[in-house]
Amino acid sequence: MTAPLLEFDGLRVSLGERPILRDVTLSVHAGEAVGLVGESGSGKSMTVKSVVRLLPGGSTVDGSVRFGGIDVGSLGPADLRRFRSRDVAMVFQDPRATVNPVRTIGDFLTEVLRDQGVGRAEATRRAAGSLAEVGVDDVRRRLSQRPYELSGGLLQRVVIAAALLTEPKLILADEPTTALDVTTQEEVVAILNEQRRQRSAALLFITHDLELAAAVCDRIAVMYAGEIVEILPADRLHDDARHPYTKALLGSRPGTVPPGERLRTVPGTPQSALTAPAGCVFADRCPVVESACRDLHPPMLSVGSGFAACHLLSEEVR
Amino acid sequence: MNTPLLEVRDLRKQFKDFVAVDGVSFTVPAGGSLAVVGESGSGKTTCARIVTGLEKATSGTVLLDGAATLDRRRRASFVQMVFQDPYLSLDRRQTVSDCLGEVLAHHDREMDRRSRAARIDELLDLVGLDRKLGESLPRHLSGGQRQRVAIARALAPNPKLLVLDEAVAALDVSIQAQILNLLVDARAATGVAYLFITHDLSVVRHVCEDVVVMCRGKVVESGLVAEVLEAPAAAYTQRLVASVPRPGWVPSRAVSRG
Amino acid sequence: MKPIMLRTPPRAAPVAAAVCGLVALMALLAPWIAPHDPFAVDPLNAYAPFSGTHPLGTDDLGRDLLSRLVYGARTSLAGPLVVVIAAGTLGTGLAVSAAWFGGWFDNLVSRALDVLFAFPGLVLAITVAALFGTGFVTPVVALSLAFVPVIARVMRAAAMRERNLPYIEALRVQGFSSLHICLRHLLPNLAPLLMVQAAIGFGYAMIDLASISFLGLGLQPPAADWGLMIANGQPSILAGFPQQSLIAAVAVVITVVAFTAVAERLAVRFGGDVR
Repeated sequence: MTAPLLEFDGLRVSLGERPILRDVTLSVHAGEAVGLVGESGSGKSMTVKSVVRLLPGGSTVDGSVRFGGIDVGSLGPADLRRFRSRDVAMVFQDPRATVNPVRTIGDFLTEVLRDQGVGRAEATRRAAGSLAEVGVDDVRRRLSQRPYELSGGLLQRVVIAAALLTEPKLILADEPTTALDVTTQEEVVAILNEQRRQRSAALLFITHDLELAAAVCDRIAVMYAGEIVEILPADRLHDDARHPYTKALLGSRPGTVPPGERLRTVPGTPQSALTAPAGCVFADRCPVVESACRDLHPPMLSVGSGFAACHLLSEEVR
Repeated sequence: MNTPLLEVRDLRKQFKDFVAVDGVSFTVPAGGSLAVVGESGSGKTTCARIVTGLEKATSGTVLLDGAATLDRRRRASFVQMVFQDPYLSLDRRQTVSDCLGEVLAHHDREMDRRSRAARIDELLDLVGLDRKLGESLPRHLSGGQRQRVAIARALAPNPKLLVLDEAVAALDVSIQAQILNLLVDARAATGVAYLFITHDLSVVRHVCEDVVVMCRGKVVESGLVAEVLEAPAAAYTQRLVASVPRPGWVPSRAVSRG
Repeated sequence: MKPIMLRTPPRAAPVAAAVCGLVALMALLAPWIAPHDPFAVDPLNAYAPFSGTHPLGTDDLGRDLLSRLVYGARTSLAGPLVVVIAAGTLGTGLAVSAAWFGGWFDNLVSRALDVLFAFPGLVLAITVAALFGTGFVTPVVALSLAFVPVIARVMRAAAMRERNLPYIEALRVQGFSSLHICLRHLLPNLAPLLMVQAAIGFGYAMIDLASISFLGLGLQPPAADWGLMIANGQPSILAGFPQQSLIAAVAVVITVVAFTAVAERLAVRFGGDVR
């Protein structure tokens, strides 16, 4: 097997004394889409930010994030800038916060290309081509429009077009459709998926929606309180989820039980790396918790078609 | 036939040159649960705000229990509202007990201190909050706990109708499930009717019997949830139902140009 | 009015608060602290140097400078205090009612405040003092008026933000009256911001009132007032005795800096927008 494109190796991030990520080990291969799913405080955004070293000031990092075999943490300022601008692209939740509101769509799209020394005419041509590919019509007019003249869905497509322009090897998408309507969400994820496949770019897709992740990604990593608790192939999500937390997430969506029946809920509220217990991070809320869970940190075990970190699975593995 | 709890007839709301709600009608029977479904800009929230009196309709009628006008306090004890964002819908300076106590005192001036305290405990039990949390400020509560407080506050005057404006949309999946269970239980316990404003069809299936689908200010389809969502007739409803991520779903981009 | 923004290190805040407290205490306890009668003239002892009996020396009329400084704190603090209380009350009242009722009333209030805002506070106060006479009351009233739009503008923006929050709407759905919502919920939530505004305004008012006294349009001799002391000390500077002007000026600067530092700390604490 070839070396992964992106590799998180025992990544731990803390801000002062407070842990943010406790143990993230995950790899993304070239051209692969991995979904990072979790609730608030799980550290999924922080995991993605650590790839481009956009961590809050004063945070300390243990372990490593490697891109193409190179430790991102060891990059000098010039290399880091180059890495950010050419190798990875980011798509955030709110397109309105991503695009400078007073500049035109054309300016926004060509800025990075111009910075890389591409001529104005060539940059505009490529920007127009990229917009057309993400299904934006009337491209000439769009290039001279400003963000407020576009709907949220259209603007997010512009952001995706911009992300694709530099032909990145990896796209980091942090809840790219959460702010959009469902019908718009369908289009946007379809475009993201199609373009990514055409260019064989890898995708790290953050979402709180397991079903959405399963539809867009090849593999799914479920995060809780700063740790990855389960990794499994997207198409095995419903049949093969082993970790109690993943099962709880799957069971708590309305629609999994007949209308009017009670949803299977987990007590308590989502925890962060700071508030989670020392052993298994999910021990406080787990419906099948045992005494060992609270003290011992469960190792990642290979079970079924994926991996899960749960003591209760150790029987099954043996 | 009985008078419906809420009857909205030919409602219209115009903001300057933008028509947000355009000839909308629907009814909620006593103890019923109606979902108003739509995407942003559909006018569903404006309908909710008109029903609760936060906005005035440009034309059309809203009949609460058959009556067109109620004074402020009577209206408040008839229809209540739960908002989307649990972080902004509570006064940050007020403890949970003070928040509930203020509402109780407002609706029943005769109520003495002791029966008020008893009623606060009753409300906290109803929404599944530990009584000890009564002395907490909102900032010490989680999003789910705050939403429980907001629901308790809305149920405090014993309303007949509760308007829930995207009341579970901002919550984490596991918390959303808790609140949905709570809403089902609260309805069973109090007989309150729901007007559920949402974009989330799986939530609609879970808590509502009737549904109104809105698009650009107009009702495009209405009927029983089971019928409308299983066999949608209107093209827009079909698109809406088809775009919900579910097992085996493949997103397609050829849906629309917008 | 340009905001003076200082980069205050966090540890300076307690010191600044202590200074504010000390100055206030000095003003309150003046009759007990002051070693001499601040008005007692002793021409034979004019321009006395620092000594045990006169720790800060005496002025041109032989009055004890420490006593005058201590008594001066009274008017020097009372003026700005009245200004911020008056302007704060009026400004916040206008701001909240404009934000709450909106529409034409908001337009009317906002335009009226704009007009008032166009006059620099100090110029307005000087004009009014020149027209209606000097003393303590006239400049304070004029300056209060001049400060109303400064405070009202910030408070109106905050009240607008606040009134659109769902918790206010929830109270409206509960059928509470506008008055109840404004007094019990809106105002208390705006209070921290008002505190910050008042503390900043205090510093400015102090400088402005000192300037007015300095120009001879405020309190008149023989009153003990820091601004007046700076002015009256001027001839003595030429005579080679700068103490009177200097110590009064230092008192003004220290007090203003302390109040501004406290204001900035409050602003950071409550996340209010100072500018």
